[in-house]
Amino acid sequence: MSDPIIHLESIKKVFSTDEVETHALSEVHLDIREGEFVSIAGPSGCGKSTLLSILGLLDTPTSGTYVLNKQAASGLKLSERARIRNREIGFIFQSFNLIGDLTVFENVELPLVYRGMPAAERRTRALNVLEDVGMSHRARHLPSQLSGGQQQRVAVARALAGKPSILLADEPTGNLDSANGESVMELLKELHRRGSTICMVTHDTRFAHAADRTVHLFDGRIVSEEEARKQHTA
Amino acid sequence: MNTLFFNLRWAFRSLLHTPVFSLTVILTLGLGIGANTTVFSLMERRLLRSMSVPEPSRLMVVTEFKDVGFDNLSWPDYRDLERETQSFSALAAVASGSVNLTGDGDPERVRSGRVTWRFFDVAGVRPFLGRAFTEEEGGQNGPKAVVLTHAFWKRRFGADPTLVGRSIRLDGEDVPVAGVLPEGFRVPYQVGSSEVFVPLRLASDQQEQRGSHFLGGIGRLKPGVDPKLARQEVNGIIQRLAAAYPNTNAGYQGKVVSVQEETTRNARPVLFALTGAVLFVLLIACGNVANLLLARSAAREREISIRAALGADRQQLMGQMLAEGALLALFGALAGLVLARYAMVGLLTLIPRSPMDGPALDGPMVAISLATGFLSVFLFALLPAWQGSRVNLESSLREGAKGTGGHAQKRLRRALVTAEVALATTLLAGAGLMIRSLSVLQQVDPGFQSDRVLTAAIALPHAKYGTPDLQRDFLDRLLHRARQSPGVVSVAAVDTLPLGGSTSTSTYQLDGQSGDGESPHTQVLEVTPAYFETMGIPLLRGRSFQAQEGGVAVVSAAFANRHWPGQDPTGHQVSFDGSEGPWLSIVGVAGNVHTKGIAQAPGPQLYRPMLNPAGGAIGFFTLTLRGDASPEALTPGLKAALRELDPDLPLSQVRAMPAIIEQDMSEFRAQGVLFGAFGLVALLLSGVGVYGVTSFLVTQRTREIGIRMALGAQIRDVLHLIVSQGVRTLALGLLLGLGTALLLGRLLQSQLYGITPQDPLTHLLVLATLGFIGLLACLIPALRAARVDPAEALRSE
Repeated sequence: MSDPIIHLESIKKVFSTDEVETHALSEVHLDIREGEFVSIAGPSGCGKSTLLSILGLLDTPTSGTYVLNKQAASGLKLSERARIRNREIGFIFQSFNLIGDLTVFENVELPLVYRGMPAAERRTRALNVLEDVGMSHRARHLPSQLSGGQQQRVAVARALAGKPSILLADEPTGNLDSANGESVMELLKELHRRGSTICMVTHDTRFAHAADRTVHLFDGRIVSEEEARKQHTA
Repeated sequence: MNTLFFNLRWAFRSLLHTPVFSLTVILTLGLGIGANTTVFSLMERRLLRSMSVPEPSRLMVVTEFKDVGFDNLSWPDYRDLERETQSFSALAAVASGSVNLTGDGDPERVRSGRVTWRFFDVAGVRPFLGRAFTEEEGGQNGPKAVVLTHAFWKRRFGADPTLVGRSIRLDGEDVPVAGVLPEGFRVPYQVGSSEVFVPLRLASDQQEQRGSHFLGGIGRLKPGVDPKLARQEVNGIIQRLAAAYPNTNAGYQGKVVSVQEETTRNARPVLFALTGAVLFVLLIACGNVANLLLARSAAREREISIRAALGADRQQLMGQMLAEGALLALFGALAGLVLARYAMVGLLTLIPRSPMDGPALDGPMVAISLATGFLSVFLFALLPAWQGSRVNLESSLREGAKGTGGHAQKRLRRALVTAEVALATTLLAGAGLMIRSLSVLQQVDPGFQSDRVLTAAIALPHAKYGTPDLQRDFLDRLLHRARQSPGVVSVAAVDTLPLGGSTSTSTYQLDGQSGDGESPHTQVLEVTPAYFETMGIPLLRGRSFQAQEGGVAVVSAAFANRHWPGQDPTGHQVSFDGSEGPWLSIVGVAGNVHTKGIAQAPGPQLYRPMLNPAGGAIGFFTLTLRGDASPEALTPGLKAALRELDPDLPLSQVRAMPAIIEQDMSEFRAQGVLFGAFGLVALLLSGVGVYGVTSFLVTQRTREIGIRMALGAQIRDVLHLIVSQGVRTLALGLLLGLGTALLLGRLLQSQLYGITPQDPLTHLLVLATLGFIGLLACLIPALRAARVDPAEALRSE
């Protein structure tokens, strides 16, 4: 079996305010291997988004070990974290988080600009991924000229543009109607079939089951892991 | 490079998408940069560009002084100094004058520099055509010669290259043109406005009188000689002269300072004060823009977080925000340049014939504007970029998250506004002092009635009017003829017109005093009998002169008070040539007259009759005519009278007396206008600053206000909540500003007239004005907050 792309060991996250300590995550162990599609499910406030933020290097754990693509993610400088986010991780947010002032094409090429990629290569790469998600015909449009489903497709293209090791999707269908939600899920499944590694947070059980494996969180702990065909209790 | 291009492109587009924000920032920066460009251009013209000679740092004023304002050399002292000093490679005596140019074209009065023959060695320039003066031409009885400035050669002779060697007619005599100076040549000390240079020739009495100080001294330091050592050497020579000639030289000291320092000394304090003022304006403008950028970065927190999530590091995030800053500064600099151009046009109008003449917009101005713009990026963009790039990625990317900028940003915004208010208070206090000072100055009685008085200068060429008798006869006939011109009520002549830019002083001795010890100084004016009546100078005691009267004098009240306080001075006698006389009997006391400037207190003055049959030469005089209506209406009649008597004589400096007063006060007025304008800008910007921060605060707290109102808060509670925070910021700024104003006010001391830098009325008015504007700026957003619909506010997240 190949080494995991993501390896979490005893991850703990505690938020401290004045006199109260809130344990958002406790003793989280998780491995995600290349080509896997893992969904993280659980009720509101169970720690799903916190876990995803730690996985995406947007936040740091209070304790525990996080190894991303064989590289320890703890103790990294801010600039190193930014570089890893740029090269290893593709984000898909619930609210799309496209930049309103930039066109579809510019949004997609943005991570490549930060990487310092030459313009010609950037253009080819951005147009290719837009083609992959069926949005190349809208390359010159602004996000405000697109429907929610289209915006999320652009967000997926942007996440794919940098050829990341893993796609992190935070409730990618949360802001979409059911038809558009289904469409985006189909797109993610297609990407998975083509070999992408995906970790998705969702509280929608229909979509959670689209993954190879579903990790259930409750009160900051993994309470169960469920594979597509078999189930065991953690 | 790639990222820089993208940053600039994004920045440009982002600014286009927010036109109100962009225009506000560009205009704010334009005001700050424009004010700086104006004042720094003024400084560059006044301090750096005023002299165009090689190695200007070696060019020194070399003179002697006793009291402030009396720092000229006498001819015998100059000769001794020239003989003894070793520090200078060349030394020259200079005096300003004017000559009548006749011949081809209209007769013209031309400003001349009267210089000893080594003047051009001192200046370090060679003529562009021909040659400089020879030693022989420099002799008191040497051959005549004239050297023309390039501008005059072009203007009057159409840049005729064959002019050198030919003669032009000056003061009725043919004078060979020795050379033409290179373009732009200018030595601003005493002869700065000269159009022609002639060898310095003196009357025999001027050559002998050691107490008659009327010459400027100028020298070029030998290479490697320290100015301090030169000063010591010159001072030693002057002290020896003082010991040798105590009657005329007691108390004199030597003076060696660079020409640049000497000629810009008066302008320096006000230029530096203006520099401070515009830097304050720039800081206030940058404070405002920084606040706007902070608010913008707070509003863009989510976008910045997205960029960070996509892999932009802090440097890249800051780079993008700084690119916006740079673009804003560039457009601000362009706006500032446009503003500065119009400000310069206005200034050149306010200060006629100023030494900063020139085009209103030039290369240095563009450079200053861009440099100020570049500096402002650091002042306004760096902090917001640094703050803005510190985002909490996890929270700001969440659905519904709203940018607030956090506590650190709030504190920073308040600190910026406090600093802005403090700066504005200091600047407004300075502006208030200058404006109050100008208002006091405008109330000053110059000592004469200027309305309805016309003045015009006439110089009598020696060739035609070679003796004092001929000169007196001409003047007498001219006065008589001019008196008959339509509208003329009275006519008189004076050798040095009040506020005319030059004065003549002499040492004197009173009857009953021994000739030993230090002799007092007085300003001496030669006038014709109707002078006091024409100028409206009150005669406080005794009488004026009578026609052809000699051996008499009228003294000013200050002169009388110096020697006979509370007593009648008439009947006492004064001598300007020691105890041997001749003695002048005092026949009257006139009111004090501001002769050197409205802002300068009048010193002792003594009037002598110009038409005294035993008097000296009258080479140059100014006619004063009092009319029964507008003084300008008298000009045609005067010209006709002169043409009738001598068609070759030009009238020069034909000006109404009120215009002369206006010009004397023009620099004060310009300072007042500039400080006033900068003060207003500061008031406006700081008001906008307080408004902006309070407004942002209200926007951020809309939900909180809704909750408070839902819980029963009244309108007054909401008003109190918002206003109290603003008032605390305002009060702190006012206090800090007042303290700074009181400390820095002393720097303006030399520019103030009739008030102290601590003038309580000015400071109270400033505090009240700024306090009112600041309170208003808090109240407007507070009233908006009080109108918040609680239901609406609670729904908005």
